[in-house]
Amino acid sequence: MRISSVTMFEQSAASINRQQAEFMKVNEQMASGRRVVNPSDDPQAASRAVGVDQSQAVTQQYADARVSARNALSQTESVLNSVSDAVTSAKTLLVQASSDTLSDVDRESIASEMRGIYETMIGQANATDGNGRYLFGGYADNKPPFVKDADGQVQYAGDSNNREQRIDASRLMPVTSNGEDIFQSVPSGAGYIAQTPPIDADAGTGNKGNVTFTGPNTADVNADGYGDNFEIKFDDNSGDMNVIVNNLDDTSSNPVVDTKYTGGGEDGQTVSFGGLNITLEGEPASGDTVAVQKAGGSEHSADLFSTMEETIRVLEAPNDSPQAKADFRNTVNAAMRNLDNTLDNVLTVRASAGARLNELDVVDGVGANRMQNYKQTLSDLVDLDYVDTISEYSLRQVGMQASQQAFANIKSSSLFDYLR
Amino acid sequence: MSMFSTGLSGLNAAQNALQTTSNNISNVFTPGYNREITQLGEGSVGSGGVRVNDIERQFNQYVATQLNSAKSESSALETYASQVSQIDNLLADREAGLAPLMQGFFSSLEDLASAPSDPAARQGVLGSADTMSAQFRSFDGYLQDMQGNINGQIEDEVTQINNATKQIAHANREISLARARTGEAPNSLLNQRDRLVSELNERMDLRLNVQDGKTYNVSLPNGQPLVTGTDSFKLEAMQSDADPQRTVVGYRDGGGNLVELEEDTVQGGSLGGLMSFRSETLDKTQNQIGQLAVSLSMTFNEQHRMGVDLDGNQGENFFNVREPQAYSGSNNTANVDAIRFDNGNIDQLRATDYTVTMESGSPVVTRNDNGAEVDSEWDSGTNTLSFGGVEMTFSGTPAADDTFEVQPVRRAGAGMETAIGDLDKIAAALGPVQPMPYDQVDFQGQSEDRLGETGVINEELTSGEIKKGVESGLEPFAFIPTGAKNVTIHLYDRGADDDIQLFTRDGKHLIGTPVEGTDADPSVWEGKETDYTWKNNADGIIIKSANDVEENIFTLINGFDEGTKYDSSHLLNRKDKYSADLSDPATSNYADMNFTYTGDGNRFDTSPNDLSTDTNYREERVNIDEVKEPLFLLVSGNGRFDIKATWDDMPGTPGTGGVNGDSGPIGQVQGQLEVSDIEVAPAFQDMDSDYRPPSFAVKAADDGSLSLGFFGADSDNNLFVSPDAGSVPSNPPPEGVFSVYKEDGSEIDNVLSVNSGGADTLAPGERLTIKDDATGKTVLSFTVDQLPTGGTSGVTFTGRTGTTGPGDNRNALALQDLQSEDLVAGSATLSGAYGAMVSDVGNRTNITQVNLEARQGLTDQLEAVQQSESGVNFDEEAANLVKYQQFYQANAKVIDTASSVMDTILNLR
Repeated sequence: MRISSVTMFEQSAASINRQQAEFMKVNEQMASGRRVVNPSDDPQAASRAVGVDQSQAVTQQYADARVSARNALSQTESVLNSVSDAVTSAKTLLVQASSDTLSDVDRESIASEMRGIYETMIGQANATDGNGRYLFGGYADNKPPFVKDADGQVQYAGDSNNREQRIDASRLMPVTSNGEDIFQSVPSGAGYIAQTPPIDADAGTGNKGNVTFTGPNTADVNADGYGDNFEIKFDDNSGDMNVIVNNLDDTSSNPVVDTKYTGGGEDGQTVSFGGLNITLEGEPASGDTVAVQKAGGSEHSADLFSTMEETIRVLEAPNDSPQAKADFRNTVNAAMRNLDNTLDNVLTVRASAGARLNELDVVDGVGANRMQNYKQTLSDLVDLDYVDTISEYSLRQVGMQASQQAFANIKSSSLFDYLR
Repeated sequence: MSMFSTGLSGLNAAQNALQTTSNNISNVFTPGYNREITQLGEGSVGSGGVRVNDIERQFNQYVATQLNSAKSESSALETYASQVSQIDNLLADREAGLAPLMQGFFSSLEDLASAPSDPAARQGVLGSADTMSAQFRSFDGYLQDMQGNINGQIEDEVTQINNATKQIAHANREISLARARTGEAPNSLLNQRDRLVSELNERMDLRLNVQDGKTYNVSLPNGQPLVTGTDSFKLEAMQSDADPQRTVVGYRDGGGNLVELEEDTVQGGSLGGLMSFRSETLDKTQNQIGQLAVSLSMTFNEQHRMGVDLDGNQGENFFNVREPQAYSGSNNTANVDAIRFDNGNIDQLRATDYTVTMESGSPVVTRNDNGAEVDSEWDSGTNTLSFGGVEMTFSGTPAADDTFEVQPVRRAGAGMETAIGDLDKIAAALGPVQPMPYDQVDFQGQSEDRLGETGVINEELTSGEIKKGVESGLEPFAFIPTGAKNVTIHLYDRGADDDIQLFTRDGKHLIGTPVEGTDADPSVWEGKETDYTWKNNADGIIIKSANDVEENIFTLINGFDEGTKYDSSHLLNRKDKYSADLSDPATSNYADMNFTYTGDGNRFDTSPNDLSTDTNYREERVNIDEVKEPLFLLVSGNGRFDIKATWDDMPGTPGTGGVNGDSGPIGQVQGQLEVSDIEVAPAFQDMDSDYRPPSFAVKAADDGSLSLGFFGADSDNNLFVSPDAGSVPSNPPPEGVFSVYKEDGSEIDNVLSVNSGGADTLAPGERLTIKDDATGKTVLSFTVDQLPTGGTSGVTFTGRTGTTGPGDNRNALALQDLQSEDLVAGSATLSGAYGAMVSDVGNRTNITQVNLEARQGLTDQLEAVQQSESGVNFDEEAANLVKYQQFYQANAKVIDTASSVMDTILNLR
């Protein structure tokens, strides 16, 4: 076939062009480190890469969520640690204060120490995270959750929500605990607490006698009425003091106990009802009452701060009468149980935060693994295999040089060159 | 013939040959040049010598045509490839692409969920939303620029094509003139013309027809001529009739008419490449971006509106969305009045444009990308058409062949922007409110459900016409609305003792047969076969007591309020008489309605039609002078009956369940009502779920008066309205369900006429409390922040109790979760849809490049073939030069020799 000179030049030029383009493509791949630079390089891989990239981003979001969840939970844990220390100190002080040998002055100094602990507790309950958000207010995290009202009593101003975070595709983890759950709850299985009405001389409320109690102790959790709230009432029946126990929740068989009171002596009198034993001692006045209530139940809502306030009240009051002494003993008694419950509860919440921190570690491990997989997949999809590419680079270089050489040869092989 | 002349002819031929060769050499790189060969022939007989027969142009029409068509295709592919690779490059940008920015946006929502009230996290959300939406806009801007460029390029191409066709026509003329003069056409003219044809083919695929082997005629693939002989016709770049933004190619025919060419008529060449790139890839990619933008914006907005912002207000729209575009054909009778996205059907949006054509009374919708017909809903009453996630209203009823071009999402990317600028307005919390779900529900129509299945009487009957063979039983036959005048009902029983019964909506039995026996001995009537009147045909239920009526007749489905008590104290019962006219009637009056009645109200028939002589066609009649409150008409009996009714005035509209104008239906809810401080009481959950009022709407009339409505849905999702705007203009409403109180404790008695001069008023900022009438407990209270000034706005309560606060991140979590939901066309996540787009464009680019290479190879090959025939080869010409030089020298030698010979002779002395 005839070859026209134009064809010869054009073909060589086209061949150089093509070789150069391919050489540059490999060059570009090497420079970017990516096999797939444009979607058209490998449409399937490019589109899959978008998906893998998205999974990777979502995994990263969960990882970020875990960081902030860990932050919140660690802070909760550390604050609760302090709270449990404070409750323990309060208990130690109470034990100290319950000694009969202490004078009013001694007790007042304990009271001031107790007040210090009380204020510490309020401070802890109003702890904030790094951003100035209150840890224990539920959703109401923009204001202190525990504030003193006009009477100096601490009230909860938060709500009962716990903020959750998505720490993994299918796990919504609560990352905060609200103040209600920590400071105003009892652990499940908390027992009974007995208490006498506080004495308020101005209002004339409180027991007139000086009966005190020990217990109540649980004897039989299967007994009828266990779990209900009771009230022990003393009734002067024409000279004979009777002790009457009423079930407040189930009034059908009231009174559950109606017997003569014999606890005026040294040993006291043990009264049994609803699976409970309580020992009463001292001289009651007619109409005096002792409430025997399920902790955290409808009648006896748990509240660390009101317990502390009560304790401080009796510590500060002079023990100048049998009634006052009885009030002091009874209040301290009840407070011990309340503090025990609170401590248990705080420890439970803390343990739950700890468990969630552990879970975060586990999920972190899984997440990191997954992230690694995604990275690998993404790399397999779009990244460059340098070994292959470098050999291709050399090949393309040779090809380009060959085509240039060919052009040079064609250029010089003209008949005109010989016609001189 | 002398040696001289022989030598001279040789010299002459050699000169010609040398001239041709040098011409070949000088034109070696001239485009369109065809190699020439000097054809030598012997001189004429007897004279000897040589002569130049022809300077022959080496041109092969067959190869040239093949090459032209190959060039046309590769030129198309080349144009396509250069355009599509622009999009390919756009999507290649990893850092600034849409996918990483969407990821960034959802990551910022994660930060928001971690610290919902943190201004930094909120700023992060707004910032990343701005960046993302800016990228959507810039993507669309880039693609729109390409659209603009293509429009411009089409104009250029068309101009070039017109130039070429004009020149071809001119060349045709020159060539035929030259032929006429010399019988031969100059090679250069022929080359020029062939080159023009070749150039033309690189712009567009055209048909070449060589007439008589001389004249070139060029026509479009569909046969329309561009060049015929010495005439040329023009193409013109014009606005598409369907879409004024689009430049298309038009053909101006001999009559001067401009006709738009179908886009697929233009094939091949750079013009064809542009057109097919535009319709195959550019439109689609732009639509895909738009679809992504709308799907994201609309679903995000919906979820965002369910939330509560930092100030405790309900969330607003987070993104602005550009509404769909629609163009009406220029010859249409109707235009597009309004077009908007169909909130509830966003998952039906597709990345395509549509053409709507009016055919035989209803519009037919076809997709532009694949030509498939799409399901649509057409409401000829309101001229509203909905399909594919779009709802459009026409200015009038479109005539046959009216066409509309609808581009739901084409430019949506351009309109995407963040609608809120205030950090506090990000609704990260979840509150007790959600957007009005029935935002286009016509509550007037829906209130029919409240009337159960009972229709208005003028739906069942035409005044004065008898309806035969209706089954009797315990279901109301019809409903007579308030305001009906002089209604007479004629009942003809067919032998099963059918009787007319009239009830009020609150359970008063006004006309008909007693349900309880007055006979002390129930055995006389109870369970007797002969008890035909109060017996249900279908299931054999026999009505024997008030309780039976309440259970079987006073049901929601029949249109009675639940708990309606039967009351027979106003019953008009004419025990033993009936007559075919009203001459000897029994009469009664209830609530200012006068009843005239002739009928057999005897329950204790011992046999069918015991009082009848004409056993098969007894007639009963009842007349009501003016209906003052709605009445249910029921025909009890155990068979079939015929019925006729006449009236002077009947306000009810068929199909609306007896609604009449006075009752002021709430109508369509058009917007969100702003309320705040919503408190959902626990009693809300305790309330009978059929009557819980989750939705509240306010309708403002032109005179400034308001109607309040509470809407609920029963377990079957039937909507009800309370008060029953559609049926009973109850006053005071809403009786027995719930009551509306203001903050000062006063009750709003007539919620249908608030601020209309009566006692009931409502001002913005007032707090409303809803109490359950059954328990007296508060179920819901809220403050109305704003009242509509026209139209109806509504709000829906989720019934979610509990509180919210700045630390509430529930809606932020829900918003974040959207990234994993199938938002796009209901089948793909956002990143999935983006990935599909990347794959689409990548594949398209890849295929185009591969095709281009293959096609280019073929073209190169054909070019080589063409060149092998028509191309100049230096070596060959060098040889020719040497050859013809020697030829010349030899002939010169001949003359020289002849001269020496002559000299020899002359020198003979």
